[in-house]
Amino acid sequence: MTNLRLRLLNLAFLCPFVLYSTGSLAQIWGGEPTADVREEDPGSTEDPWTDDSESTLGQDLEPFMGDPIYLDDPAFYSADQIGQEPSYGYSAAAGPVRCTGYTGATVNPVRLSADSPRFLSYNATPRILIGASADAACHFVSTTTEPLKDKCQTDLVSPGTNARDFRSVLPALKASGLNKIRLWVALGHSKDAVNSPFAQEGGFYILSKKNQPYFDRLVAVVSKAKELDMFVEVTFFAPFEGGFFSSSPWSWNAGKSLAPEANGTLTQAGFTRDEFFVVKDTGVDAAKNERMRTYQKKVIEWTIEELWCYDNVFWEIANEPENQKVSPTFVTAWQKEMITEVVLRDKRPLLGRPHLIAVQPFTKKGATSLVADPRVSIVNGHYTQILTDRVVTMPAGALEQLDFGALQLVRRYGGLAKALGFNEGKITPYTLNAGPRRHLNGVLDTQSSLDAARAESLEFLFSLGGILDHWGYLSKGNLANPIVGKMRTQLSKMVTFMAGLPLAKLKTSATEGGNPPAWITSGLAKYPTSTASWDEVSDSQRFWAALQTDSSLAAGRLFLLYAHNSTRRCLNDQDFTKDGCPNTNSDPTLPPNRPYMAMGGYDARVWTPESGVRYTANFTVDLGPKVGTFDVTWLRPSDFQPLKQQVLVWRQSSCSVANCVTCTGPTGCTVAFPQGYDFDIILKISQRP
Amino acid sequence: MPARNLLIPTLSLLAWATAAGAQVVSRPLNADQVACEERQLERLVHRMVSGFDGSNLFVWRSAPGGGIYRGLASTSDVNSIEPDVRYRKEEQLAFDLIFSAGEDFLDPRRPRLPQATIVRRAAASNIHPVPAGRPYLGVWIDLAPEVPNPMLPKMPIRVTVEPAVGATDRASRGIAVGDFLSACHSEVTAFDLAVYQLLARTVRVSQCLSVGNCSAGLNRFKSTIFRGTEPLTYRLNVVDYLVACYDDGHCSYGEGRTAFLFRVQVDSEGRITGGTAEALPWCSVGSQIGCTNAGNPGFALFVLPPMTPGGPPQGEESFQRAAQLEIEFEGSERNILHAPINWVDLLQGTTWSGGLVP
Repeated sequence: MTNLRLRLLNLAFLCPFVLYSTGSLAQIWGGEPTADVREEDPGSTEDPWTDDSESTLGQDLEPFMGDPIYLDDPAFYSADQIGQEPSYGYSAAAGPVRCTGYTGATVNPVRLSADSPRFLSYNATPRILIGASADAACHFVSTTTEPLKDKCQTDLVSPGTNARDFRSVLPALKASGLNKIRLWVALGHSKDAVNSPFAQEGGFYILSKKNQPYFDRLVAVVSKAKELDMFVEVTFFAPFEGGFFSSSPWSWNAGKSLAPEANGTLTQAGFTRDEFFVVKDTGVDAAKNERMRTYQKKVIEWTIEELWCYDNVFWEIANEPENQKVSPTFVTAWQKEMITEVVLRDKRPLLGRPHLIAVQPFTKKGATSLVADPRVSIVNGHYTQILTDRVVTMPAGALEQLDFGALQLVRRYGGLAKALGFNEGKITPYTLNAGPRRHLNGVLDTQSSLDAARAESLEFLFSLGGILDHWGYLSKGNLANPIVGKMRTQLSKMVTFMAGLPLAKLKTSATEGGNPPAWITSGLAKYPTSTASWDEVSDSQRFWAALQTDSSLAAGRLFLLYAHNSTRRCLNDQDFTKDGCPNTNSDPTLPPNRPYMAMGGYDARVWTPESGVRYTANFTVDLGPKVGTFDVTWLRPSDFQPLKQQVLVWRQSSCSVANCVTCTGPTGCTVAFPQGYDFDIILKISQRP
Repeated sequence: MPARNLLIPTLSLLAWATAAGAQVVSRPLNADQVACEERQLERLVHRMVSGFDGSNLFVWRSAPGGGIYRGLASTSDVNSIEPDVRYRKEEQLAFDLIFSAGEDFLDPRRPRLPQATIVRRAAASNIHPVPAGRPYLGVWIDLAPEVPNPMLPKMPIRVTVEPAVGATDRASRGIAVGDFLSACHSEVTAFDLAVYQLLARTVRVSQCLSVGNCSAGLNRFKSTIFRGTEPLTYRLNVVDYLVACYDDGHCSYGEGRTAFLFRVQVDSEGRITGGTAEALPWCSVGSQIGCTNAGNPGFALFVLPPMTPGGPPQGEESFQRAAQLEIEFEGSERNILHAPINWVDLLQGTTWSGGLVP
């Protein structure tokens, strides 16, 4: 403890935070560490995954196109800082840090790990970020039109008694082991003045004036997150969220907004159509619509002005900007224009390096262009798989389909040297179309469940996803639901498990083609499409994802497989069968139509022992050209507890330990789990030091 | 990879007459004629659907005059199970589609209506009973005046692989609305018609074997085949279509066109010796024709050896001989927009290699 205090004292000189309190600036030197502050010297911790060989991960990933300023450099930090959490040196007592007028130490935000840019790094330590954000609005105030039922919020009246107030929600998330939240700044369709970034005067929104109380709430939530060692994805825009575009400050037709002309005169302003929020207008209303770019950029300017001094923040340009009605090409151009504004504004004398920038494409077309932009460090996906009907898009009339969900994202970019995120999927604890779905022993479970949510999460993480923000509500119809706590516990265990892996050395076998990883030479079918690999007994298909370290190394080899037995989701919560989704045209004279749910998820097919139906696994594995002794462990993903453990001696002829499998190689060796499992399983094969 | 390095005989584009009898093989058309037919077939194919996810449906005008069309539907299971081992297996349903003016004498009190008749070509189709609830191949055409969603036809005619559903006819004003009775030109030769048949049996569109994969689901595909302006050039427009359903319970239908141009080369005996397939550019505005208006097609187009439908599947060896295009989206580095076709190799071992027209 003495040493820890010493380090804190040293750090205090490095990182003085200037806090704004009761109208005056007060410099705070350090603070009490939270329970999570690591006391160990990271350098002295024995790392079983460390070996003398050069990591080959960088060779497997596509060249990172970003500027080194986005990569974390351990040499940048003092020994005391390495591994510290965001609350280190932070005092909650003085109130939120105000970035306007900040004069403290240089701020160095969370960035990508130089060793493995698939993960974020804070204070030179790679991090898995996992959260459960409910509609990303902890800074919003409940209103008549948006009562924020089941969602995080700011209670201006009685925060102490409101379990949905962020001052209760964030600590609860933290206590559950989660470390990430998401916040939306400007909703394109919201009509609530209190939740608008624009100030009102005389009954009009003045688009050039900041709604300071609104941003104060945003700062308060981010500050609370920092206090709690949580990271915040701040999303500047949610262009198509809110439900009331025709009454929103962004709408021309609402007639509620004014903006200054060059001579200062205030005149009516707004988008003539919501699509122009993200699409350049070259038509008759171009002057009106393109004038609004100035005020979109104001939102960026104000947000950065308020939050730039927070190092636990990264930016996301927009939530689902590629809605179906707009051309991905034009939306990408808009996102890049906004990125340019972010880069312009995110420069301060006391900001050591810019904050990371995330984007969220819904199409492969949009993703391809954004991935190639060196200013983009994080690419987010929503839902598991997405395929929508083709729709005429603005402005040129091209017919586009949304075709890119989060699991398609990780499978397409298995080798990309940028972080991939999954920040919206099916909602727990909801049911029906909006929630996770499962069959229990062959019967649809109408209660809230989390198996499918776990499956999509672990499949994403085992595809080398680095940031997961489960769409988790706080209750269901204002009623407490046990799934809320269970889901948080589930996510927390994922954090613990993933954080215990040698993140910097991991690579994934995920590809669009879906071939099994090279280390499983038989027993694992291709990643299923359509009705392929259908199991008639369990009415399911086996979906999977795999991670590994370099199998050619002599030491530190690790192989991981996650498999779950599910189906795709169908229209109106109907069952996927061996023939696919059910035919919705019941009249036999009409053409069969078997539509999937466009914004996809999984239907978990869970079978308990009493059902008599069991899933088993039997794989032939190739653990590399060099000898080794491996622990083979089958884990239960719900709690990561071992179900079966064995020792496997690889490319050797004898073994002296108990429960040992000898494998002389080189053609492979069988590892099996014939005992049976309920729904999903993890196979972990780790080389002994 | 396809065997693209085989020698393709070099022939002049003007060598479109056979040596024997100087029978005209293929005639030039002007751009208006081609555009007229492209629009007419696009109106027709919008009304048509097949019954199978991933299916490929083809339709073309089958006579120099107007109102007579022919088509082929295929289950088109084109995928891979084992890593890097592709297969194609399919059943086919061939049909004739005949429109006629004033054929409906049913009600003497009303003006006679145009009529459509769709007839299965039984000898060229895989006909069998289908267990209730199982997917099956069929072709539906909606004859209603307006067709917002052909997957929910208001006035359908159909043929399927079910033995009892081999023909349907129906009168409708929608036939006149679609202008399916007129002929945009009469310059269709027997050779052209044979090439249409050949393309319908060798061209297959697959999402699952494209670089983008089909993990999110399967579109269906319906294609129109018609002549290009130059002799021995053939247009093929692939229209992908899908009904997607959303969390709020609503479903909607959408479709988009990807345009291709095939060039074929023939020898003095009228045998197809080689050719090319190319994807035409993307449209600058959605209402254009002669271009691709699907922003992100996301499929591969193969030109494979012909196969006997319902017979043994083709394997990787056939794909090695195939021509392959990739059309992901405009500007994608993964696009393959042009490929040679070694017809000599593709037709090897078939009677069609000796010439398409007797």
